[in-house]
Amino acid sequence: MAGLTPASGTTEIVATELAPLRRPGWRKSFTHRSLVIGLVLTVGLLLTALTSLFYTPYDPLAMNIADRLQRPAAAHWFGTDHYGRDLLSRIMRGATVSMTVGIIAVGIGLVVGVVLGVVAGYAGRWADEVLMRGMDALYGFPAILLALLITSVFGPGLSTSMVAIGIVNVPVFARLLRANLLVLRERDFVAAARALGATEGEVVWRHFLPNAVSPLLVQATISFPNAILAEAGLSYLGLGMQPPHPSWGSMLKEAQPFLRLAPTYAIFPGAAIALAVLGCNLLGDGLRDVLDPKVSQRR
Amino acid sequence: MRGRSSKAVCDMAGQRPLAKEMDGMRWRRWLVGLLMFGLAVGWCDRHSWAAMPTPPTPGGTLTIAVPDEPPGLDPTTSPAAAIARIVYNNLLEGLVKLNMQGEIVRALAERYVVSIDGMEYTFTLRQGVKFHNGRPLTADDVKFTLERNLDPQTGHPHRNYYESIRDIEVIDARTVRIGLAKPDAMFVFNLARANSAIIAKEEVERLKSHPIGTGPFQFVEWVRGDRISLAKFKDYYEPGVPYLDRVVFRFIQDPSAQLAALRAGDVDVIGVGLSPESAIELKADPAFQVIEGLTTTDVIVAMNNGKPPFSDIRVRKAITYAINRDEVIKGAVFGMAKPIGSHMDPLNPYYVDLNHLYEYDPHKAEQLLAEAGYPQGFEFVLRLAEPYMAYRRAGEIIAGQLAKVGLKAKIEILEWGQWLARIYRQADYDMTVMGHAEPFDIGIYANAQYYFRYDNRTLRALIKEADATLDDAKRRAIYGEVQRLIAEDAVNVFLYNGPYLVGMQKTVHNWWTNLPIPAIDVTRVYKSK
Amino acid sequence: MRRYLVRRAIAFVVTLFFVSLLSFALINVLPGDPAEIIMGTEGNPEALAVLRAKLGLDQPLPRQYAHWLRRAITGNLGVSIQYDVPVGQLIVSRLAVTFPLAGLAIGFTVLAGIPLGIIAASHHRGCGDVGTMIFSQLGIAVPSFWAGILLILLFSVYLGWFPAGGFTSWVDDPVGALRSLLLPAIALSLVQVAVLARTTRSAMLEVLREDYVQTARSKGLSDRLVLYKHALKNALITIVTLLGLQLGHLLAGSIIIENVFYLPGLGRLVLGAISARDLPVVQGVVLFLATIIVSINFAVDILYGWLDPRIRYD
Repeated sequence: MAGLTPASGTTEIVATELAPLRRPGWRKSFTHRSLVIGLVLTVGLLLTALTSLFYTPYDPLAMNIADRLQRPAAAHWFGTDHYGRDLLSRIMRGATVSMTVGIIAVGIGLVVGVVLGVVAGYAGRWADEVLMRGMDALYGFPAILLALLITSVFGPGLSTSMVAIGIVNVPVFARLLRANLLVLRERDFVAAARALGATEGEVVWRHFLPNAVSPLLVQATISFPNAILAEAGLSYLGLGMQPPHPSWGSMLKEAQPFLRLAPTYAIFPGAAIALAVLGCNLLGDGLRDVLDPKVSQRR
Repeated sequence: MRGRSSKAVCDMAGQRPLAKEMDGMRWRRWLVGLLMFGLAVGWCDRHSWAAMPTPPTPGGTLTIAVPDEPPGLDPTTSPAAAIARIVYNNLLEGLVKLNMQGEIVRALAERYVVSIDGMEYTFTLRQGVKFHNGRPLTADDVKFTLERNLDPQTGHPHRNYYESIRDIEVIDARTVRIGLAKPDAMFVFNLARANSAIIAKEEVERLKSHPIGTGPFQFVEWVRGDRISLAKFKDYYEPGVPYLDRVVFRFIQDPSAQLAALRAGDVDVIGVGLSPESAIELKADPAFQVIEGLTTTDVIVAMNNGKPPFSDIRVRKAITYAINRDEVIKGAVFGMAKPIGSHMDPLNPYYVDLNHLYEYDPHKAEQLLAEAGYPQGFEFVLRLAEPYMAYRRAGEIIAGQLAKVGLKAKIEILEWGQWLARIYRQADYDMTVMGHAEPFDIGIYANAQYYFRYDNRTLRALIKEADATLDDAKRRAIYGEVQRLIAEDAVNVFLYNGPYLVGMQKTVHNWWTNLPIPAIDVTRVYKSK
Repeated sequence: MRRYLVRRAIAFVVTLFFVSLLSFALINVLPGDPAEIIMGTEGNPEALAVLRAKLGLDQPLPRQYAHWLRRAITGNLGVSIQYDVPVGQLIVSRLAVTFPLAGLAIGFTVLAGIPLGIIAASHHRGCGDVGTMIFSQLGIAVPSFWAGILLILLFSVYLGWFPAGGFTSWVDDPVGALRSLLLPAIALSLVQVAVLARTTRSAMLEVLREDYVQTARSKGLSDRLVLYKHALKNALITIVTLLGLQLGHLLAGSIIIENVFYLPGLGRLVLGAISARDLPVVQGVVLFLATIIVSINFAVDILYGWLDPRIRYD
């Protein structure tokens, strides 16, 4: 399942391979165009999410059974769901959910991952091994299963799914940070700082972390759309946002029994997910191009 | 039983005519019987009679799609309806059973005799009944079964059915006498339920995964996650029956997958779980037939009467007024259900129509709430069980309706195990929506510990009286009162009678047209070419 | 090389240990008393206690873990609470759906992904390239369950060529069973096709730039020959290791797809077991899946290390 499985790990590899090819001017027009599309879509997502907090054409929760399963028309641009609720309004509200999950889940993964990575880098051989094997185990654990178990323990819901996806992202950031730490620790400027009497803590804080921002940001741009996909998947399974509040994934699940009666019902939420993820992916790719090809050389 | 009295049509709970009648009552019974017959024929006719013409063709395999895989196949240790559906009257039989019309008819007992004071029942078993392992049925099996059901260690889901039994005596190989501590009007009916099936002592261990019974079909295999197969039992005591050679129950949860399987010819019948949207589709298709009938399922909005604010009758009434049942029926089951006004289904002969006791009136709801001290409404938690889509939908619609009068529901969806543990066992809830499939279960309102936590002495006294009354007219009056009391007290909100929807190929015949008990009895079903 | 092997092997074992610990720990934190759930509505306290003892739930956790691990290593994963059947047997029977599903998905991935990548590489900067890149971006962005639903909409609802879900048994109806797996496999493989196409493309492009290929070209060999013979062979390393990694992800991804199409595979087994608190099944399946994935990753690591000595072990 995309989002909780492949793209994050494999795109790393892809990025590594593509690095030698990113020469300025090469394929520029295509890259340029995809970056623009990505920007437009991502900004669109952001705007939709923010707008829906203040205005939606209808109340996303207002039911009207008599109007159920309408096709797209003037009154309801995207049609209505099986309770007669306006789909457009629900999809707009769903954007808020997706953005929130993306930010918080990646945030959790990043913060916890960074902490663990630093600890692993500094805590001595033994702790390092243990932590990293733990991270490997977590990484090798089928991520969706992990998220499933966590949501089962703490009950389904938006917060639980955010935490679950966050936890799933921790190993990636932890390993990333640790790898960079090992490399950077031996660099000249760090030796110089040490010679000047800086403590290890200062080295980490003033010299190391700022340099780590770049790769972390790049990883965040990969993890963010994956988090959106993951949340959609969990909601589809009923473990994410609970009814009656809309989430793109749960809307898809609700639309499935009505494929014959109202085929368009199932199309809009899925398209929303795809467009949101596509936009973020393209934007992320573009950012990575900008930030420097060297940055993607990590294993 | 000797001679099927006409009075018995649609009579589920009353006594059957017996060898020894209570003399003084004899004429009155006849009169009442005649009257009932007249009413019953007119009412039951359109529901109960299946299409007659084609004579039964023996042979063939019938594949039935059901959504729930049963958690084992032992109906004596689990209340799950999914078990009864597979075993009732197919694999396992009791002394008596219910037929399609909801009548109590003989099964393993050839006849039974009740003493004048109603405290002694003597059952005579049929001749030549064999278990599937070849051993003949004896009265010892009856004694063993009933004693086992009464034993707390067994974990029978409804021990109370047999509580009135004082002693059981085996008179000879075919006769058993059961003595009761007090008259029990529900006794014979309870013996007709799925969890009163007679089992063989030596087969108790395997009952859960390979049941051995006396039914017209025997167990062949259970492919976990896929299906259960049964085959015709050659030594069944009733000649000519069953018609089918094999029956396969396939577990298909997804309504559209069920439909796809039916259309593809992979299954012959969608026995349970035909969703209303699919029923609509199938009805329009000439290659299939759809049965629409009544069940014994009362779908209710259960409220925790022991917990404020639901302990206040004004709040409960307000909620009842605030719910638009027609809209719920339209939204949850596409309009394919009948509303009910109390905890009894229209199939029950004692049913009283109380649908108009509360009409939809959100204004009145708000007034009552203000009176009760909640002018702004309040917040609460609505817990719904995950496996039942119709009840979940009903719950969501109700949440929307209640929000309009200021009652804000937070919806929590629980797995079935959790629902059972938290709501059913511990009453840890505010409000929930559930269908109660057990026939004639209005007695649960007399149990203050039942998850409704409704404690009403008057009601308890009424039920107790009804259980001890063997006179039909008296019972009818009492149950009428009970229904009215429960409805007026707004213990729960009574939504609708769970629809009985079955979709099948045109070649299938003799399927039950109503569901007086959760079962899929295929004894008399056959397939034409 | 040997040192590398040994280190990876140790890491593998330690990781597996952590996996087992994780499986056990997580699952035993699940709320809900399995004994209660089995007994259902009418279990009385004595009967519950008896059942708990029978299931070994009254032992301290570390002891339970040790018991379980010891038996798991020998292949005994316990007995399912729901079905009263050995967990191992359940897993094997469900694999009859999940493995073919994953296999079909891999098949589609290879059949569609590699040619697309080749086309893109050979039409570098042309229509084929742009088209493939667009498809690849879409493939990664589209959620697999939506793809599944769209496939159902097109091929089942409108065209009626395939069932909308469900699964007939291999024994009764092998053709029908295969048909039931086709749409799910396509939906499952969509993301992998996209990634594989991209990887193939870039790997081939990288090789195509190398000097000796340029030389071969200047000698007048036809483009196609150059492509297939040299580029593909060298790109194969990357492709094969990628496929190995994807296999594990496919098994996990099948959990959602099996839900979309109502297939009785491993994914639905574990989902159902979690909600029924069937601990032995959840533990068994989780351990099984995680072990397979970790093992595959390990094998891929070894393979990669063997094929490409440039890769340094960090």
